[in-house]
Amino acid sequence: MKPDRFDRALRDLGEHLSSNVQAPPYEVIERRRTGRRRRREVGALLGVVVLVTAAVVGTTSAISGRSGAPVSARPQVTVTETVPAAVEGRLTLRDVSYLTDQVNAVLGQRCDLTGRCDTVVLRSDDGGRTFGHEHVVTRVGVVGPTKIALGAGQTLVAYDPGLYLSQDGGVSWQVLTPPGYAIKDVSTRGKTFTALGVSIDGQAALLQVPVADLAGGLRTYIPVPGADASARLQQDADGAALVTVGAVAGGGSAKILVRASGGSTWSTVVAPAACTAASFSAPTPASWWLVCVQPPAPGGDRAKTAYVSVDRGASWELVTAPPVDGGAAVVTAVGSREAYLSGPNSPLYVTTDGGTSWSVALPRVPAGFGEPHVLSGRTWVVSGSTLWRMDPGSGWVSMTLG
Amino acid sequence: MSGEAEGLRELYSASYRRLVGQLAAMVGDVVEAEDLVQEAFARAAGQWSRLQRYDSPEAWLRTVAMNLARSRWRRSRRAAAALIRLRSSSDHTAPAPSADHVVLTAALRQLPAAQREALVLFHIADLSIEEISSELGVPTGTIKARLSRGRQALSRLVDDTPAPVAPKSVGPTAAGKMRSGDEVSR
Repeated sequence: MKPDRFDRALRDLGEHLSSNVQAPPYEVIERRRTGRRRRREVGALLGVVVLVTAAVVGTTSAISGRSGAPVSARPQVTVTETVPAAVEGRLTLRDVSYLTDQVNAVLGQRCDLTGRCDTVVLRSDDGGRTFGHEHVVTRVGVVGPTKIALGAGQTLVAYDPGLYLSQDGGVSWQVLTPPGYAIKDVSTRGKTFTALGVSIDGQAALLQVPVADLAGGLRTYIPVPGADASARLQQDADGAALVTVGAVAGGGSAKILVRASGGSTWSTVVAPAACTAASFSAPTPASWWLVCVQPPAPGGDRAKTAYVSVDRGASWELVTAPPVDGGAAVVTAVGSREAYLSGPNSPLYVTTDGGTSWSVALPRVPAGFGEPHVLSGRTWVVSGSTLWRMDPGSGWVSMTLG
Repeated sequence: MSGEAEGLRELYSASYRRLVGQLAAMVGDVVEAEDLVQEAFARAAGQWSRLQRYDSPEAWLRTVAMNLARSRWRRSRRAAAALIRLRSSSDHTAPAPSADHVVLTAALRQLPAAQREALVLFHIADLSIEEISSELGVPTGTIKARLSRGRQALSRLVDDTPAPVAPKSVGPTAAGKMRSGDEVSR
């Protein structure tokens, strides 16, 4: 007998935690055991090498106090030499993207024991139910991209801060990063590929190339006046480029710079509130959502306000914003009524009534959520090593990608 | 396959999920818990001929995993911890954690490790006070004290926790449920 108010709750918690676990094949244990033994052998060998080297150069003080712990020499070559990188190390997902409701891809980092990471991509052709082989975009030592976009056929684009192109489903990659630019966003809508780049002196520009000649590299440069490193790019269904600038030095309002498809000038839409950061989403040419992170209050709180416009920013309606923690918030709108909102330390919220009320789509998790992607009513979002998917009319399904 | 290896495989199949659930409640992270339990099994594989004679090899595995969790080495390198998984993907329906579980997990993580271990072993692993005493190597009186203090602290934390969400589609919060649940016996 265990009379305790928490007894049942704790037992339920234990059962819930266990129920979400699938035991991997036992071979995992055998491989881990083999890896430990090999690492121990290499570590011991490195220890000998370090001791011999220290003796030769007369610098034993460099390792004094560490005797008996030869691995303190940081065996940098251990892991990559003992096990294939493709199956060892934790995968942390950064982004998911889609081409159709069946073809999508995830991008993440797989890090080894020493904390060095490859950037990898996995592609699915069955709506994200199974993923094919993992391919490496960039190896350790390179600041890898954090976002992924899919083009027609076998085209994949990885970006932010660099720009990488694959035209064989992710097997091989070429670098397209323009010299002196960091790529913040891309759009593959229409016949023109557009990237938003920020130069080393903080100036933003649209960099374009015909999709058919993407491998030839970005060629057309269109300056974005007044945009800085905070700028983000979207293209609406009409092909208009929408550049959001949120972090305004010293306060002020966020703004949205609009350039019509084929146009040669920019128009400016000023946000209805002062923001230190802003997140913007335009699911249709007429439906705009803006979430504004306001300057810190005396208590340190950074309030978020959400606005909806149905006339391309001519007027804004203030709607309810859920309690997103931290100094950032990301809105991903599906239409004028439906949108997701998340922050680095918050649940994933959803509204289906234009922001009148919000509910928790997924509770807060330590890893936080990436930016949701929605197509044909199906939603994907990444969190840690988990890819969440929600099909129309059903609940969320999680998939752990090793 | 040798009989020894077969015995450990059977134990792995039978106890992996259970151990991960217990460790996840202790460390507050299922992925980390899987890493700890896999490491414990890897160590057991090297000495199974001895371990299989123990009354409860599962208790040995749990102790090893808990010791690993306590280790400063592991905590300091948590972000870089390796996790070998042959599965490239595993599609399964997983209910999202409820608001109750989020509140309770958050409260557990704020408890001192010794109290958290005692609560998890008693309520989730369903061990008796004597078994916990034996597993942790501390007197039964100490276990009782840790359980008592742990429950008090947990009660304060849960009762003080505001409702994590007030969505239209989510049920009562853990705090709400527990206030009305009161004493539970089994």
